[in-house]
Amino acid sequence: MPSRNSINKPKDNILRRQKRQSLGKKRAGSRKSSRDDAPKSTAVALYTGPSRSGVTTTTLSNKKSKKIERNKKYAKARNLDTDQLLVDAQAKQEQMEIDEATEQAQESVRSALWAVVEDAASGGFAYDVSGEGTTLGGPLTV
Amino acid sequence: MELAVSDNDKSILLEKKNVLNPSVLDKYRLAGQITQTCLAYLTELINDSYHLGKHEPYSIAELCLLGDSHMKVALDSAYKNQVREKGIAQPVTIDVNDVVVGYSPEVDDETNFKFKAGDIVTINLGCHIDGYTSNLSHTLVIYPPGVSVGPLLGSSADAICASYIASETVIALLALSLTPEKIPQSLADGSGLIRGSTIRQIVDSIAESFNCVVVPTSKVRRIRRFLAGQAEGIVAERDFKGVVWSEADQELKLLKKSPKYNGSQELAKYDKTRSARVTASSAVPTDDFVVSPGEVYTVDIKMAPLQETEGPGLITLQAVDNVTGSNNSNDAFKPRPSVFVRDVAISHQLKLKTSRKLLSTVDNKLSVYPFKLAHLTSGFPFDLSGDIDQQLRSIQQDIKPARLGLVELVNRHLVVAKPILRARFVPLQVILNASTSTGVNGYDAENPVLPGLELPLPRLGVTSLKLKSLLKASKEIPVAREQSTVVLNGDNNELIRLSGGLSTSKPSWVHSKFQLSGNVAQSVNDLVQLTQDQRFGLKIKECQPMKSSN
Repeated sequence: MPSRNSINKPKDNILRRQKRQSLGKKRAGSRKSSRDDAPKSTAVALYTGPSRSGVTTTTLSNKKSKKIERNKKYAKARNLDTDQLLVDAQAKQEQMEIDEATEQAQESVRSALWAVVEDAASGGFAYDVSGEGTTLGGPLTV
Repeated sequence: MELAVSDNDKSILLEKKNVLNPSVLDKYRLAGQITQTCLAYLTELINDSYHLGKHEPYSIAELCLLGDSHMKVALDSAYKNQVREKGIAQPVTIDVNDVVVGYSPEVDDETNFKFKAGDIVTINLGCHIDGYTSNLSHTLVIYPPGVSVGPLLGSSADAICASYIASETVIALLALSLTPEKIPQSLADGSGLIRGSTIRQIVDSIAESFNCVVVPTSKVRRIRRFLAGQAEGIVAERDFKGVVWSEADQELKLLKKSPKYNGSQELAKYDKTRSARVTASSAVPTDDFVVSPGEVYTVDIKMAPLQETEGPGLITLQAVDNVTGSNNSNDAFKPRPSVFVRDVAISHQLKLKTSRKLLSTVDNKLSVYPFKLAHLTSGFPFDLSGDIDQQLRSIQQDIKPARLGLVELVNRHLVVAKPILRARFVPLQVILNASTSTGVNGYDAENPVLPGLELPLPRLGVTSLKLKSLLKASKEIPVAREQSTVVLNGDNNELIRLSGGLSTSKPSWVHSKFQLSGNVAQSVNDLVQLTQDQRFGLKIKECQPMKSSN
């Protein structure tokens, strides 16, 4: 592809392509924003904390509101990332740590269960078989 | 991975389609009828051949295929062109003695065998119409041929009694949730509600009085359209509602028997949600739920007897296949996994033409439910009045190319083999002597379980991989299983039993030397009286099998 300053430049094509691209971007942008359901900030009274008078005359220009929105988007992405990263890192660390409390708990469970084994060895569990038992069903009939 | 579904679709799929209106009830009923008919058919085949000697006994593979064909034929004639999806929700599996779930060999499987007298045999099957599912399991006893001389005795009989009584009791409890004013004094806790903890408590006490243990993977759970537990462990289901038994419950029970326990919460505490590998905590099963009208439940109770075991121990499950342990174990039972379920979250460009063809058949012809290769062959379903032997042979030929394609699908995790599980008793001292070198994060990726149940012995810190390695020192143990699906119809306060019940799942003739005793005997007696009282008791209706056409 010849550069913009070369001698035999296909000037028309380049210019047309650039124009097409920029228009396409604009179109895509407008389509995207119209689909967005989130409430947008508009040129209405700015909220600056609980005001005493109850009325304010400050308004937002269109340009300013666009800027706020854009910055909000960036801030959101930033916050989300760091939060998520922190959570992930913490989870990783938790998994890697050998929890001494858990080990101790497991040891006490182990010793409690050993006690069950020893009990059984001395004839621990007896079941009541004094009654007549249970019978279900009957002989096969055809 | 989570699937993005819009809120609108979610409310239609999960809520509106699960409202029990007459058309939904009809679909449930028909699915129930078909399962009942298929069970009656299989029971008749087994009785005729093994007990009455009317014809040569069928092997397990043949019985499974005949059952599947029978279901498929009945399903084909139901709701023609009215529903998009209908089909087999659980291929017939026939689990003998210590096999708990999943044994359904293809006709060319080398492990395929016939029953012996004294075997306990669990038939397990299910079907769905438009996603409304009815599942069923029932345990039969194989007697010596000829007239039966007496009941089955011994440990297997204990298990059959316990599972039958427990499942009937739970169904009566579920029916009570429709008419809370009838809750008997022996069960009342003042709230007038039937909770998950009530169900667990009564099943545990029944098991204890018969000297049995509730086998892990037993569950009493709510099912919804297309969510009947067919892909547990593969798909995490939000808003899971049900009581699930696992090794962790046996651990707690053993711990409570210890003299060092003294009622302290410190030893017994364990937070399931911590180990769960899901983002939605509602996918982790807990007992604090309330059974409410308008829901559908499956009651799936498996019991293992402790009569022939020595000392305390743990009942756990061992997955068997044709590869694992082939070098160092003398175990002859090496069945090839034959029931598969499609994991719809995964897509992959396949290399072999046969596997691409197989995948497209699976995606087009089958639903989200498990399937067998035989279901995809041209000879299926059988013409049950024709020459069965010849049809079996032709299916055997048809399976071969499909099996080639299946290998790639399984390797790429596009379909997942449902494990064949056997019950094993591991003595407690073997577990206590083992060290856990993998740490608590080593879990068995091959045999998925429900979220939150990844650690079999959480308090002791023993992982499923560790437990698997301890199975060398284990002992086989028979298991009896009863499963039925019930609809709690809140409109006229009746429980509709889609599958099971006296019409098809009459218990075999068994005698156990144990009986119910203490509080649980009183509760079960009260419940039995309520179910038998036509006027003031519980309203329970049973789906009847269809009249046979041939």
